Amino acid sequence: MPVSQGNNHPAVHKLARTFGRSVIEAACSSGQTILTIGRNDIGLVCRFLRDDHDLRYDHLSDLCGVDYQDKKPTRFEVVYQLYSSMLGDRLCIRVGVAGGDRVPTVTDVWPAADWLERECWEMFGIYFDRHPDVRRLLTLDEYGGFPLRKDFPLRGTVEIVEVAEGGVTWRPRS
Amino acid sequence: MAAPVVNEVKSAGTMVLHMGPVHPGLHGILSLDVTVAGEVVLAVRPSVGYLHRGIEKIAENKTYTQIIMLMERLDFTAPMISAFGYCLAVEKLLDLEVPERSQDIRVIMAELSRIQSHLVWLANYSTDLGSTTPAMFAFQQRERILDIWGMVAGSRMHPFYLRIGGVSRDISNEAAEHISEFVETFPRRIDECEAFLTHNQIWIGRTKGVGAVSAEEAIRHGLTGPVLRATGVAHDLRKVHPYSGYERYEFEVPVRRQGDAYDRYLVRINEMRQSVGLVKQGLAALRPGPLCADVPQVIPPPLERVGSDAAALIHHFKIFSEGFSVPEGQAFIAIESPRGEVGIFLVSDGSPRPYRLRVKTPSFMNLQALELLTRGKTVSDLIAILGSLDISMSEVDR
Amino acid sequence: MGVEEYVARTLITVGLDRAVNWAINKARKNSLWPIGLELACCALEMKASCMPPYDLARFGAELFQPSPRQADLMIVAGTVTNKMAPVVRRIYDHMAEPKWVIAMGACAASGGLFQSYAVLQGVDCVIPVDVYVPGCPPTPEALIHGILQLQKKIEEEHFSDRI
Repeated sequence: MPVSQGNNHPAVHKLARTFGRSVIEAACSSGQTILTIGRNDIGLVCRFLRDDHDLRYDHLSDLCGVDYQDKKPTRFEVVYQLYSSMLGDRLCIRVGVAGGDRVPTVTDVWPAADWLERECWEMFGIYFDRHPDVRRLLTLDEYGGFPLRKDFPLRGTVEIVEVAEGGVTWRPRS
Repeated sequence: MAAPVVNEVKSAGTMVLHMGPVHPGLHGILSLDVTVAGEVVLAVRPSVGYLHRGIEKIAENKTYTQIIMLMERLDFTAPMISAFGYCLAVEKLLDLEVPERSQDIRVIMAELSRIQSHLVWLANYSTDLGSTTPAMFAFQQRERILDIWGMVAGSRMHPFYLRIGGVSRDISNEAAEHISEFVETFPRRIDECEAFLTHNQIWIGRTKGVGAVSAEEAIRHGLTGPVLRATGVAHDLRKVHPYSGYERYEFEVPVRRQGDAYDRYLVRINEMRQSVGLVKQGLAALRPGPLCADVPQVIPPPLERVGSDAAALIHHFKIFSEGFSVPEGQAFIAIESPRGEVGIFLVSDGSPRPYRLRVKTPSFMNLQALELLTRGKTVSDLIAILGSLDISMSEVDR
Repeated sequence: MGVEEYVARTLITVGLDRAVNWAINKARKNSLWPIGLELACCALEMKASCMPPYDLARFGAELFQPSPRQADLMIVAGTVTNKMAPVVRRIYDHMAEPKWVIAMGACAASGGLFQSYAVLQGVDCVIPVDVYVPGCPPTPEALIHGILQLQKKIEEEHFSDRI
């Protein structure tokens, strides 16, 4: 049976009862409920959503960052895509993150979040507290920044000049 | 398949064995730092990113139609599937309905992609474990699918066939005949490949009981696709959340129980058989009709009208010079690729270029779990387990 | 000093070097054993070119070597990223002379479709390339044509150029 979306989504009432003001907003876009949750409680909220008998969001489908620059109150958002095989429902959770803020990790709720949070850090610079291994996964330190931020140029800031026995020589891109 | 020997661990020192990034047993460029004690694997640390091309960043600078080409290269072993998911995400934001003929054509192409991907996997996996003849058979059958795509779309490997709102051109009668001939003869070819492997004692010895994972662990680690279905979880997005007309098709979801490499192999072999059935149903379901919705702001008008109708000319010019705009909003679409669940997250700011395109790929999630599956196994089991996960490095690195 | 250098020095003065050059080049061009750098999409077309119906082996490329020490020809099949560039260079350096390089596909030739922060704009930024095979991806016939062009190039070289 299809789950009600938006403000009538079953997760909204349960979360509001348990986490109160951490549930900032419930919206609906393209047929999917989007909950905006306070940054500090995201770990507890995810654990609740996974363990609650009526919700059971057992799959973490995706975790990514978005750089909104000045379009929203906080520059970045971390977006979680959850799926409940019991309800057959996809729920989107977003967390506003200002530059320099740290977000609690959800790797203790779903180990699947490990590399997803690492990639979010290296692409946006969003740090996840108590993540076991915050290191670059796909990119190089030489790129000198966080590539998916809007102020990072597409062609990058450096390029390879030469590769020799001693190593790689880089130069700033003109 | 040998169980880890405890005495060996206690008496031998540990060593870090560096495999890759160019290695005949690791398909694609992947670097593994394997901590071993004798033959026993204690830890595996993959280093990825050797094929990171910045596709998500490039997509923010391309029009929605141009991105289809990028998406095909994102997972090159099943090019039409990533493009399929992306088109569905854009169509969701545009609130565009794809005509039934295009839906059926998309299903046919997606299932041919699935067969093609599993054939490439079978070729690589059987070669890894020492059996090279199935690779020859598999690639020969793959050529037939590539010939079909050449006929239908003009290009063998990256056909650029799907479009937002439908497909770029219709299937000719000749192409439909070739597809029909392919699906008539292909099941016998699967039987031939199976004859080499399924009851072969060496194959069973290398894969049975190797790299087993429970359903609960698989779900917690985000494993999807044949890896998850081999653990007993009948989760296939084409059945659970059908898209593009899959609800009109009848097929079974192959599921096994042990969750080991042998079960993953059997799930993929049976999926190929099911895909043959889906293609047959798709061909039978094809009815005459339009290929794309009539939305001239998004879908280029037919060329005959561009020459004679001023409005059509303006739409054509705008679509190809600037691109079409997509309403503000966000959408998340998940589809079933040969490797598992591909998730496309699209954020639009109302302009002709996406604000954010995020692609979650099954290989990224499956590769994370490599250490979980190989701890305590031997190095040769590591190759068998890695191959059974069907990792596509272009999907992992994007 | 290899036997080729010795022969070159002796035979140039004797004037038989044209005949020896012909023989050595014939041997080299008809047994180009590749190391295929399976980087991205072009790798699949490279594999397809070894399989039925294309069969690269009939042109002498009998065995794809896993080790660069035993290979003559490096086929760079796919996109070379900045992270991969030092690895490609090292593999090239490990190959013994004579060695040749084919840049297969648009990405290996020039970065292709991927003009981004992470991609090297052509493998010729790090290693010398003998033949560029255009396409995205090039069909197996195109790769075979590229190898035949390389064979023609080898015929026109002097064997002492690559010792």
